[in-house]
Amino acid sequence: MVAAAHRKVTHWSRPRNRRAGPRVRLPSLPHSGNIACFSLVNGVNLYVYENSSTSSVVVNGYLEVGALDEPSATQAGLAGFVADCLTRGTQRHTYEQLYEQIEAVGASLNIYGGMFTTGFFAKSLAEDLPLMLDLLSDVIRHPTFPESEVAKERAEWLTDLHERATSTRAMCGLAFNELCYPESHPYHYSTDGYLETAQAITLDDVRRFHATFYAPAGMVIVIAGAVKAERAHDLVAAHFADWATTRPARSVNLEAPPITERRCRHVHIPGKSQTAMLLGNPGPSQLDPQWLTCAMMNSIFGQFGMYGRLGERVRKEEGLVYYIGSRFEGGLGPGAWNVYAGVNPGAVERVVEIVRAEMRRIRERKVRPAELDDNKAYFVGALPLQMETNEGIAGQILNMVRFRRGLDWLLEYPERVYAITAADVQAVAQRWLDPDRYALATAGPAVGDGA
Amino acid sequence: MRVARVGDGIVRAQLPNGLRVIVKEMHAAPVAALSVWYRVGSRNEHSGITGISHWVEHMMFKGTRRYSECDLDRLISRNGGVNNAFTWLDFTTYYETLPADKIALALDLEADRMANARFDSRAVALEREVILNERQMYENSPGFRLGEEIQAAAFKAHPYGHEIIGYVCDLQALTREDLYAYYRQYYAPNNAVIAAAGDFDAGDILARVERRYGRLKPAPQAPAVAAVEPPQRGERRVVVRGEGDTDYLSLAFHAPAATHADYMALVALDSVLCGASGLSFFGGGGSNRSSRLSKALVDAGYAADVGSSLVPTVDPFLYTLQATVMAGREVAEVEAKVWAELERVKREGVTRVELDKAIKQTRAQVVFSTETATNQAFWLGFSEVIADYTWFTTFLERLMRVSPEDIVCVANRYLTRDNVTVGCYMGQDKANGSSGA
Repeated sequence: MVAAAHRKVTHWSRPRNRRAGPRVRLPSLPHSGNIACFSLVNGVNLYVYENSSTSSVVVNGYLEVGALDEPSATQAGLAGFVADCLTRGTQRHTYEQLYEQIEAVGASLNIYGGMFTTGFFAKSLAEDLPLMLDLLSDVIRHPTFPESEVAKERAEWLTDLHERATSTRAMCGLAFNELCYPESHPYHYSTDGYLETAQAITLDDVRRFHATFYAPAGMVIVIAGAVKAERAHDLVAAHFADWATTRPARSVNLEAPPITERRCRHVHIPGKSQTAMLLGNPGPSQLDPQWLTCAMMNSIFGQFGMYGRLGERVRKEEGLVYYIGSRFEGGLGPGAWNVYAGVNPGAVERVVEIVRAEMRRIRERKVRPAELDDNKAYFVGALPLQMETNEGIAGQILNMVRFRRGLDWLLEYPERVYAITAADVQAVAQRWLDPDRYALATAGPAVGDGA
Repeated sequence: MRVARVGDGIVRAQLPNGLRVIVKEMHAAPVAALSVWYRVGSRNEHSGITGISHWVEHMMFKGTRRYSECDLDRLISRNGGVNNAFTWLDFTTYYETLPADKIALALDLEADRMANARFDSRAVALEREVILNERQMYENSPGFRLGEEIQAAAFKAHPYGHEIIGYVCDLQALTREDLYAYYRQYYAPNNAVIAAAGDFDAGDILARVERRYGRLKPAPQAPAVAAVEPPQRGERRVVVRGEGDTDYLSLAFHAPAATHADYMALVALDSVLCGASGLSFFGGGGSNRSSRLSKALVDAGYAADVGSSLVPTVDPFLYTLQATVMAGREVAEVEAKVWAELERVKREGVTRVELDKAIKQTRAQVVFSTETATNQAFWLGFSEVIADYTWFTTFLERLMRVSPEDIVCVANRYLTRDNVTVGCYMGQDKANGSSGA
């Protein structure tokens, strides 16, 4: 059964310095004065935010290992598969023992491979933090990859890939990245891999990848919750300080050639009712000095209120979609900007037409002062909501560290937001949005099958 | 206004017009959440008007006398808040979370749309298309298509038998007048609960509620839902065929209402079988890899994953077990494994260790699910709609009173072949030699 809802909301964003805007009440923002920082000699960095108002604790972080370290496209998905196999057994624990311990205390532990990094996230009652750090260190440092367990994980992976083949959103995403990035670019390939690579990757590949690339240098651990900073440090040091492995340096070129024409692809998936759609171009990374302005432009275009200008035109005025929005996908490396929507197959052409018209409008005309002011107020005003949970706080700290923003980023944030001008917004729209040269991927019923 | 301080920092009140209010102060973060609950959902619908509760919910965002359609979302966003709504089996709820000093805005918006939503004809026509699109989005999921068939097969008399989104034929036929009459019938202070939690003074919130909602007129009592699902007398089966090469299995058993004496024993049994569920409509919950069904199905290579759903409802609904069949395995093999585990519970019972684990898992989930003002307001309002606030505040305490014998008892009572609807989704794109129906 599905809870039928009015809409779904997602968001987050980054900046620069000029005039200040209205003050907001931000008493519990994490900053350099209340985040305890520790560096272990092996390159592990720990950040702790004490939050005594809860009785839980969150551990969030990453290792510098990801799909960019995969030897070739024929092993696409290897980094993610290794991450998934970490909990399949260690020198001290079987798979069954690991999950028995985690679940017996109502905790969760997730490790997931990405393009640049391998992330981890654990949540538990504060009393169980020692256990969770012990298990985290064990699975990251001492996995044994038992053959029978890796085979089980592979079978689950293959089933996931079979399911993916009939997911309109997933298949649309694959097609979009293939259109946006050439075969020589890492983003052309899925970090989840393919049926062929999932079958071809060997146990030796898994063990070698872990032995070669899992290392402490650059590892970031953020802990937020009901724990004293010194105690958290002692626990982390006990489990990670003696880790001395090193990994080879990574060298990749992520420059994407611009799209010089209209590239379209439809993935036909019979039996579906709705078409998933992605339209966009390669975009910036979150290290780009204009990132916050990009986020502001994107909010106006496809996020604010109910999907920004796109929502006004496509949903409210014409009733063509249930959901539509836009996003910048960049992280440590550049990522695409795109518009996403679920569309009746018969309405795709009309939606594309409106999206392109809106792209032209935001490039050609400066946004109205009231519209810009609404979005600035939202960016700044929403900060308290993002700090309500330990997950939210840990996530903010992790982003400040990952994107090299400095630990006082949030204190400076309102000033940076209010410094953005309509001309700045127009400039980034002109830089990243192109209504005539773009990638358009769709997945779903045959074109023109709409009611 | 009658006001009662009832413990746990909770204050309850009722206005003369029938509006119930429940409030809890939380001062950990400068945030406040409001949720407004109407006792109307798909439970109140019948053939011909399926989906009307959800459609009315959509119309509540299309403007009021005071606030235009744009204003309703824009004002919340520009004040740093988030808002949304959803329609469920037993209720429809609207919620806003804002910086604490802005919560009066949410109180004002919600009061206005409780009485003054516009239901403009053009907006109704456009929203019909939006909702048909929403339904198409759900239909893309094999899980939705299977679930819809299972619900329809499981219920013969009770309106829980149709999906909340409604059938396409009804969505195409409902008129503006139908929607407005439904709104007038159910959207009134005497059919609503307001729940608020956050960094505010409870007395101040109650005073604001009284000022803003006290003048709203009650509606005539909405008709009670009289339908009672007759006992199931034998196994029911549905098969859905569709795209893909993956099969899915669901076993849906009629289960007791949230207030039934057996409910907590079923919660404990669910934990043993499938792990503790996240106690939140907004996600949560951990892995379930050490649960009995995961060991028997996933670890043994029969399923790629297993899950379960035990929904607290006003009337008896369903307890559902689900599995994604591993490539190369047959649905029938997976089903046999599920039944073997259910029979094992009935035959051997559960251990004290398993029950203690379920209690610790639930304790953690209670902590996680009450850390935010949004979730606190959610649980207060939800509990008041299906029972009263103590349903949630005593949840863990009641779970701790469940014994291993109670669990065997509910397993024997509900998890039987005469009480099940078995649903299979059969992927039709399999290579030769793979599983069939």
